[in-house]
Amino acid sequence: MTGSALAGRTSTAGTTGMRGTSGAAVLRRKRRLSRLLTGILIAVLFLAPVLYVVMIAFETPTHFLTSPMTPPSSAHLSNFSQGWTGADLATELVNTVIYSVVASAVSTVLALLIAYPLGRRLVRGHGALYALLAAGLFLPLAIIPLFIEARILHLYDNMPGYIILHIEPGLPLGVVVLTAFVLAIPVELDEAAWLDGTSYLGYLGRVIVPLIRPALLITFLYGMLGVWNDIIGPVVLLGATSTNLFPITRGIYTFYGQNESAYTVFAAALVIASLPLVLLFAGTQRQLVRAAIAGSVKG
Amino acid sequence: MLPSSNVKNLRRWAPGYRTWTAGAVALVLVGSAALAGCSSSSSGSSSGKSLKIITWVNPPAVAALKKIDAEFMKANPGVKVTLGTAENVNGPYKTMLQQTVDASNADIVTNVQQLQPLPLKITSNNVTSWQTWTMHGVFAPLDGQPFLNDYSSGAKAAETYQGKTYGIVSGEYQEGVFYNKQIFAKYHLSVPTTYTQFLSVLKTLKSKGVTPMWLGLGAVGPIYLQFLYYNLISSVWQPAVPGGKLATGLESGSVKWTDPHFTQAMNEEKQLAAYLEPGYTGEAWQGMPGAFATGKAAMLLDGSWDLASVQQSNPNAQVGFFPLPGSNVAANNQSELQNDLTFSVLNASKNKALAMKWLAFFSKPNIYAQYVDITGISSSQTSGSFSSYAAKVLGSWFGKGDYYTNYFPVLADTDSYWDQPANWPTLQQDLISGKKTPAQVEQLYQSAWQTQ
Amino acid sequence: MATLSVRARTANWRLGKRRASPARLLGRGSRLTMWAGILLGLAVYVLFGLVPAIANVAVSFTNYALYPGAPINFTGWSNYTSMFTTERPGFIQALIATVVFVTAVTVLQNLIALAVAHRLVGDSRWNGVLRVFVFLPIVLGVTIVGLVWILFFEPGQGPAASLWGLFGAHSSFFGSAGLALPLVIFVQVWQNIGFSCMVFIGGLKSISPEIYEAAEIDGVSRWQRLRRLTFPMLAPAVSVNVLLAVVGSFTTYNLIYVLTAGQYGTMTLGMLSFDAAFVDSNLGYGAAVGTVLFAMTFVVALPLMMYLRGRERRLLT
Repeated sequence: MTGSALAGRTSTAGTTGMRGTSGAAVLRRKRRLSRLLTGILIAVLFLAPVLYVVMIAFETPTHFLTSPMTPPSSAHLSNFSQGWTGADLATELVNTVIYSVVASAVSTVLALLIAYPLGRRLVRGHGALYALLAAGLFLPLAIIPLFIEARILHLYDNMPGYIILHIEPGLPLGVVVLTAFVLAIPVELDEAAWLDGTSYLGYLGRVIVPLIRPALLITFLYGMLGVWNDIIGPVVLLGATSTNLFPITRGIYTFYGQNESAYTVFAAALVIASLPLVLLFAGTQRQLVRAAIAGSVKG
Repeated sequence: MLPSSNVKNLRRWAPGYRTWTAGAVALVLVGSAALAGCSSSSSGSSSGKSLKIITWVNPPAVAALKKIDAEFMKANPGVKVTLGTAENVNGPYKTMLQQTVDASNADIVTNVQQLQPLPLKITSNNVTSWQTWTMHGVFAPLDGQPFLNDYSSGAKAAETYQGKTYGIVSGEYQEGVFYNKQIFAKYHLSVPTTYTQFLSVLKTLKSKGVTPMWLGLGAVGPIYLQFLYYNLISSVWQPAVPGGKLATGLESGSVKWTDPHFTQAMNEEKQLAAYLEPGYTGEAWQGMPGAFATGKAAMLLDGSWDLASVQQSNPNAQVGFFPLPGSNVAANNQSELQNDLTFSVLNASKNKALAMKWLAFFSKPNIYAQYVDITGISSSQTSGSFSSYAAKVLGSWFGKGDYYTNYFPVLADTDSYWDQPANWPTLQQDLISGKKTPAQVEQLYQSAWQTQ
Repeated sequence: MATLSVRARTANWRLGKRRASPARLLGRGSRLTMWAGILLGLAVYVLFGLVPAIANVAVSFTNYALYPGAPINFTGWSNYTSMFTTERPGFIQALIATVVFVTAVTVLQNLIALAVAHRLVGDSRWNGVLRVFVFLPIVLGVTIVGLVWILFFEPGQGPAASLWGLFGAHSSFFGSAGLALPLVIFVQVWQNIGFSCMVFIGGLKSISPEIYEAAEIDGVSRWQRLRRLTFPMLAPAVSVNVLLAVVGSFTTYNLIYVLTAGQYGTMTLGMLSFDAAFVDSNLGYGAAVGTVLFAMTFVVALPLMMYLRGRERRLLT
């Protein structure tokens, strides 16, 4: 009867045309217009600043100095090549991918290994343990003690060390999110699976993981983003001259602090540095939303 | 007591469990071994054939150093020199320097501030990190090295502590007013040498719709007001101090912050600030050279380190220099000298001999001249001829002036010498914006000074 | 999810039917693996999370300097008391700035995210594209986001300056004492809306359409529907978003660092802690501010979380 009553819930606002009273039609048109306007507003608000930087990346330095707001007449590609070689972005991209993927993967696995026993209450004092880990969300910035610790444990200024030092930040959120999802899985499943004689890790891998895949994905991606965008870590935990170990955020700093005429190269470096993440997100966008849906139901 | 069914399962699980954990452990071991192989750096590799230098992002200096490193590597085959950099505005370089010193992870480090003068009464609160490190033997003494005598006595004295010299001052930058010769010619203006003349120049420019002076505090903060207050203190207050050393006078208490000459200097500062471009507090400091070079203002308040950027932004700009004339006695108006880019060798470095070799190479006349010409710094060596853009612009003022440390006392109780008690530059900004009167500012400085 | 009723469980127990719970099913081998897993994660957490945090508190009672052979001198509470004396101006201002920042960011971020989520909840391809745009800032990361907005708000020739100029006004934006904090709040909200938006979209999607149809039949207005129906049913999503926004904005420092380095009134406690330790090399004071910040976050977040959870239970049972 009222297919269009769910305006805002569905994307199409069409009706059968049987209720063509002018009042409802005007309302529908107004709604469609407002949806169009808000859509454009969102697009502009979130895209415009980024597009501005992309545009700068294609401008010549003189053009940027004199009239940066007008689009360049031709694409000045040397900014990109300068940025690519000047900061050695190739090595840095590879490093960044290794750091963020490995650290986040380990973090997610460890979080799961804690979340399952907590969710199933298999450990005495599970409440206290959960609280202890959740408190990790508010821990203060203690990077200098971490630096000293890293030196003592020989984790300073090398690749494995940098990865290991980046596992912990993702743990508290991972445990919180995954415990919530584990709680939602019916206990009866355990019954069936255990009697089949599976091992603990086998059960986790074959039964639990597929069920909470969205949560695992969210935890992994969020952790990955955290490591990818870390600016202080590379300065403190990697040696000043270990340029072959630098991630992208450190490389971008090569261009920051320079004078205005280097802004064009800087913008190009920013574009290069962001491209992988943007593509990754565009690809996984649907799963993320599904995970968010599932997540908010569990709370 | 396990239920019987579970005992059966345990036997079934047990072998699986063992292989699982064995496999996992093996995987972790192999993985970390592979990763360890991937990483090709380690702190403290003492092959003696590699040299690590750190400095901050000063583009001409970085370019000059990279060139010198390449030449050094050619002259010494088998040696690898790496240069590590981080930006110096508000933090990254300071952080990197701090970690590097603690980890002894480089051989030569660069400092922005100089060691001397140390406060008359040294406490743990009024010395910078660099000074603390020097006093505690973090750096290797350079006495006895042949290259040390290439440098002027002033440069050496700046880095000497208890009779030993701990750093090489690679040059000095000069602060003052850079002016656009074409704009001055257009309005028939001549270089002002007194305060009255300066005001008249400013008024004329403003009446013609030209922005008289350009300054940018954005992303760096009120510390860049130093181009006003350093020069004004030097030309207005310092000459009035008996003995001529304002810094020592303040420290010993014979001169007070409430001195009327300081009031005069601050009033002049307020007057001059009215001729800066609108919105200067938000104008990015990095954009100053470009703005001036493209004619946005007739004059630029800056240090000579930015001249290379000025030239790069507009090679056709005709630029001249004069010290900011705060006094009506022309002789009092001096260009201000700042020692910069001081190189020190870490005592814990395993490549000290190689580091000394690099410093000797750096100090050779032709290499040093190259450095001075590329960076636009003013020479700190006792002799040499230089053809840099900065030498041309500074003209007769090249390498001449007054050291700011003579009149701007060591107020540092933390590493950022501008973050002092009563927050020195921020109060200057309050003064200019009218939030505080000169008298109030003086009172704050004096009371904070007394509690030091 | 549903457990058997007491009656059924008692009946089972009488019949000797023990419900096999995982706890009882775990043999020794699996128990060991489970414990190994827990202890491994816990070890990482303790070693790299708790130990540095506790060391930080310890450092706050010293004047530790970072160089080889540096002595560690115990200074008692002086790092804490100096927050209120003129020795270290800025703590009180930072405190006020933090309160303003946290409140403004939390409120704005959640309101706007809810509005945007409402608009983007449908599954059309266009909405999918818009969702990518909205999430883009989070993906780009703090450094890039900060630098993008610095370029955008360049007082001389940036787009914002040109727009401002259309009204004949002039501003230093991030350099002006009046505008700097609001602008920083704006950028923080801009950056983090994507995540809140996703959570809200998830929450909105989980509300079954029949409820809306029933409301439509009853003649409930759209605004009332939003207030009385949608919003209460979003309680779990609201809890998550509000809590994350509060905790996130309390501890944030890197965006402020990139945008203004804490000047012009934007020095929050998180930024002050960083500034003191990294720029001033005053590790003791920085650690003290960090510890105070942690305590504050805890004191605010814990009751907030209990309130939000209680509200959830109230509204949804």
